[in-house]
Amino acid sequence: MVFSSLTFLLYFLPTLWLVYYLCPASFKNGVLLVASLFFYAWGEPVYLLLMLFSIMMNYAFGALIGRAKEAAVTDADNKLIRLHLGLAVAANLSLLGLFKYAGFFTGVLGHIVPVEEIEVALPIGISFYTFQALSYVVDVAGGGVKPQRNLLSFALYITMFPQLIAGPIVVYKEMQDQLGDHPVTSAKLRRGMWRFIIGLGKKVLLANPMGQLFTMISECGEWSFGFTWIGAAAFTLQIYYDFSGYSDMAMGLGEMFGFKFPVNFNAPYTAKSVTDFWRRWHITLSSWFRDYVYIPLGGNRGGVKKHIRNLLIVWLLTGFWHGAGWNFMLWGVYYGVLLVLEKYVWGSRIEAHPVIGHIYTMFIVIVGWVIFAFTDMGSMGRFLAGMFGAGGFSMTAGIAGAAGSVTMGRILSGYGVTFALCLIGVLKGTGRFLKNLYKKHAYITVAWLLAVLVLCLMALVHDSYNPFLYFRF
Amino acid sequence: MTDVKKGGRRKKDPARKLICVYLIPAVWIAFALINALLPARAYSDRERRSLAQFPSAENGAVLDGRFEEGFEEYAKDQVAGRDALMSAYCAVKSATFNRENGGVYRCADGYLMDMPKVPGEKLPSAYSALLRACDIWQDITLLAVPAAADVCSDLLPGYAREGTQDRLEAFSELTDKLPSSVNVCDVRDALLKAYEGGTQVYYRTDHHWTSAGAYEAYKELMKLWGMEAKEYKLLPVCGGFGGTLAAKYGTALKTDTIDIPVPDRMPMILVRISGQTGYTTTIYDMDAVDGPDPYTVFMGGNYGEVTIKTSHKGAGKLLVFKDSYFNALLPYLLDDFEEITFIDPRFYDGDATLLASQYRDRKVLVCYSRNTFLEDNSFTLVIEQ
Repeated sequence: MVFSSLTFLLYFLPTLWLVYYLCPASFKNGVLLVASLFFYAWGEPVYLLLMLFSIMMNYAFGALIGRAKEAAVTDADNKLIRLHLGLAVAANLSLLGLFKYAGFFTGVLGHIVPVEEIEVALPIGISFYTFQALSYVVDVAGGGVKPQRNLLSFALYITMFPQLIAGPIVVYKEMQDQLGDHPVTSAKLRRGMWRFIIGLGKKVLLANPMGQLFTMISECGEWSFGFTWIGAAAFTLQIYYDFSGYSDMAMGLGEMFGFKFPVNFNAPYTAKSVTDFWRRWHITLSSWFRDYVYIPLGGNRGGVKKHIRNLLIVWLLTGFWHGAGWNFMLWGVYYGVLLVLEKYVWGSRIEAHPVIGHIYTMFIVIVGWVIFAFTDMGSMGRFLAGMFGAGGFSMTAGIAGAAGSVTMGRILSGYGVTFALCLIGVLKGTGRFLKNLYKKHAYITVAWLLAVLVLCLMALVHDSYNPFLYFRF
Repeated sequence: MTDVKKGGRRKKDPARKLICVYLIPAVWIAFALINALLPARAYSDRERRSLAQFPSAENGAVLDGRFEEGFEEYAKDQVAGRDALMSAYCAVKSATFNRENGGVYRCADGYLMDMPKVPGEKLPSAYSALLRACDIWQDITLLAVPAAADVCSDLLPGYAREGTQDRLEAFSELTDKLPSSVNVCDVRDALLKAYEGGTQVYYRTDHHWTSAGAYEAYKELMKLWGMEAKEYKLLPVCGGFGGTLAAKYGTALKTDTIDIPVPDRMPMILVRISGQTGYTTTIYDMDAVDGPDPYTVFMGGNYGEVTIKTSHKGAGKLLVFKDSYFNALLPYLLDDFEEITFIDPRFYDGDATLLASQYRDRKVLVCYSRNTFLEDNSFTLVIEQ
């Protein structure tokens, strides 16, 4: 199920509210767990088994490592901990490898030796929950975290529906205290509702139209300078509003049930450098890679060469995490190289000129999203070439099938207002303005939230375009 | 409740807390309850389609996701206040300068139009069916009805006009490729002339042509066939008509009136719909005027095969392959033929060889909208079985 569906908004969520708020406190975690399993099973019930297996497995590994730690006195005991941890990591990565990357690797291998490409449908959210499970076993082994004895609590941590399918990635450390006790206060309920509706509005009212615009341009095939830049800008806005909208909805839902999730986006398109951008974009993923890959690899200790090596490994993996495709790897390496260059070549000079830094960052980011958007390398190349003038400078896309030709006028009329709203929305001031309104003008806030809610309902009823972007993650 | 100066004291106001914290969830839950309790509608008059019903959970439909998919459709189609929500959404879109909704353009003078299909590289399957028909029949005429946007393109938003010329040329190129044995009756210029003369040739809210528009085509057809076009008066039978474009767009900007043509002297006719027993003596279904789709006042809709015998003995027999555009043209032809058989390939389930032998020596008219001609595959199935 996805948040921006009528099934979720009109059936699942109201029912859950009623059941959750009315049931006795001792039942609440159980209710949430059942709801989460139902949420996950909706549409793809088969993969529920995989997730349950992952839960049992990691629960068992956690317990094993925990017991080994308690008994550890000698070096041999520490070896045992490391052995268990190694097995746990290997098992988790194998599941991810099998269900997410087997098709890709056998496809690549198929060019060299005759093997059949394995086709496995990617279970939704597997990348998110596997990473959460990994954070748990790793931190039990070495991060000072106690294994969770209560299977129900552990299962709830892995499956919790607000962040199950599109993040944020909440590491176990941040959740362990909340799992037992997470009272809902009226302040939390109010803030949660506020955040959720903002997120829903971002997704339905801003991201979806931008996605439609990008699709229209990428499908018309007339990749002139003007069209490619508008298309790339539209995708840039779509992915931000879609993803940060999802994160807002997740945080909002979390709060409605008493949980606090970490912030995942912090005005990323106001970044002054690529380094800065990655401190603001999908923060929980970057932190995960920092804590569980980059630092264990040695981080920036051990000299320049090792540091560069570590950065490139982390970014290759980050790219690959986003999808089993060459373009995602390319996208990761692209950022890896740029971050290395910022660290060692031009970083300080860019930070000295915020305006230039911002233009440069957005250029890098927009080009990056084009690499990200096209899984087909040929199309990606042609689109990128179009952005540099190779596709001519036409402002009309001739005849483009059923929907009529794509022209600047059509784009302006259809998407002009939304595009402008999107641009206003990425500014830091907009967030501050809304927060201020929230604190000082409560009635106005209630009114505009209701308006957004009704607008979302109208759009969801009328429009058929409502994609879920993270099925590759 | 009175004056509240310090932020800290505000929280103690119970009414305020009620509104700030509980109003939204209360409205939400109330709406969800109403939504769940309202009975499901079977059909939407406004959208001209059956609405999704609660899906079946049998035969493993839950496990393979069919139930869930069906439920999403159900939730969307059966949402409380669906019609009002859609109208309101149209209003919001217009207010933000958006002139497109559901693939339909909001045009000048209250017109709604969708974009006509453009001929692709590949020849449409109806084209090859037409070639095949040339082997069977000697006298074939193609009447491909242009869409409103092909004729009244000046009403389109400026940016949507640009492709018009290319589209018309592409279609001409396509018909130019037809063998010379096929008479092509191009009615676009006649429609344009009538439109420029102030005649409403297309409905504002529907993709079909009006009876006045069909009359222009009738005159062209008669000219091509060397026959005399008769005069008709138009009689309004249905006001406040909102057609399929209004349904797709979400609302009608101005409603339409449906007219039917009335000759000086009404010919006697017997209408036999294949597969139904008995005859009727009219091509009009007056009940349709109050029904969900008033355009079906012509013939009551589309049938696989209909034969009409008239009182004009010896006036010639006509075989028509058609889509719904023909239904508005039909009234004009009744006075010029002894027998008219028309076949809508989309609904036809008869035998093709029988068809060929039964109607071998007839004059043939292929009357399709250009969209149907470019897209439909059923003509081929009927001809080439």
